[in-house]
Amino acid sequence: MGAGEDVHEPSDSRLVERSLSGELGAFEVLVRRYQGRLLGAVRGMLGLHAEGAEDLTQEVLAKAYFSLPGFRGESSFYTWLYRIAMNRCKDELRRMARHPTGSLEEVFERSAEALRELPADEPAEGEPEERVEARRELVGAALESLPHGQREVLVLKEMEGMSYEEIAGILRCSVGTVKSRLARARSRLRERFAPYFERKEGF
Amino acid sequence: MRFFRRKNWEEELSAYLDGELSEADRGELEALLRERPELRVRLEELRGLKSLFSTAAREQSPLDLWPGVRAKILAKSKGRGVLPVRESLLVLLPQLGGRLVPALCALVLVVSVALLAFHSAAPRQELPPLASASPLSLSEEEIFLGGAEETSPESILQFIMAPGPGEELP
Repeated sequence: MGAGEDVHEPSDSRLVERSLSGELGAFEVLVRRYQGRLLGAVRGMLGLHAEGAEDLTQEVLAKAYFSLPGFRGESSFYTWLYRIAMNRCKDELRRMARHPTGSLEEVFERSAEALRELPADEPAEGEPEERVEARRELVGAALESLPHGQREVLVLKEMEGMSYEEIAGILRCSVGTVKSRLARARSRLRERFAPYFERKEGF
Repeated sequence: MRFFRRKNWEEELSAYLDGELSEADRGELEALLRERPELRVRLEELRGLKSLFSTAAREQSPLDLWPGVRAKILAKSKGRGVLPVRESLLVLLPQLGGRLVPALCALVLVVSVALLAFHSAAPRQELPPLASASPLSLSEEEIFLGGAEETSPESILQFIMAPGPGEELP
């Protein structure tokens, strides 16, 4: 056990070691530790195709299990996991590009209008399900409209709440690159959302 | 105004929103925001976007992916012939189950029949409680000595009265 490791919260590296020795329960702890974050990132990257996100994330986690011997601990376990997931997402997006689901503009307009028309309750318990769904669809369409690099930084920042430095580490780029990509992504979306900002509270 | 000319304000507004500006840059931008209402509008629009994304992220229902991940790992392990130690039993037992149960039943039946046959063929030996000093105890001694068929009350008495090894008759 490593220094400062909590008995009840074993470190990632310890869990990786135990998983490598065939203890599937140790890998289960790792999965439960990161499944929410990873699924959020995958959903963000898949945009409007997020209905396949659960299956894809499960597939990524299973693949990660068999790839554990190749994990050398040079990055954090989550960073390593995230990179596997993003590579898989890229493949999936390439595949989906051959089967477009319809006009992105139509989806964007429809969900934005739905958000304007539905009552704007607090996004907590009691909010109409249609409104939650419309928001999800709008975010999916917004993300899908961005180039891959901009989409990735926006997901890491807004969905995962990472700092610029953490994002730079995960994407192997400079903090300056993260800053500019994020600004360009937001600028692009701000222009697109402009007609709806008149009723900002509607979002 | 120096800040406005020197920087990409779109980037600075975005970084300001994320709390990623240095203290000096933040102070400079805030001074500029007080002077320029159009920048304040931009900032509010960016804030609205950020709020939209963070709300959508919070709404994502928590799911337990582990059962599906485990099933995929076990399925792949079977294909590769490599299974985690504990899981290998969990996978193998159901596979054997179909053949193992009938085989075990047959084995139990054969053993039971054999034991029954052996039991009925063998002479019944009922031993008395060790606490009773009946002549049968001696007969047990005699069985050990190989003379059980010659046992009689007289011989038993003789046996009792006989001196032990190294003893002499009075």
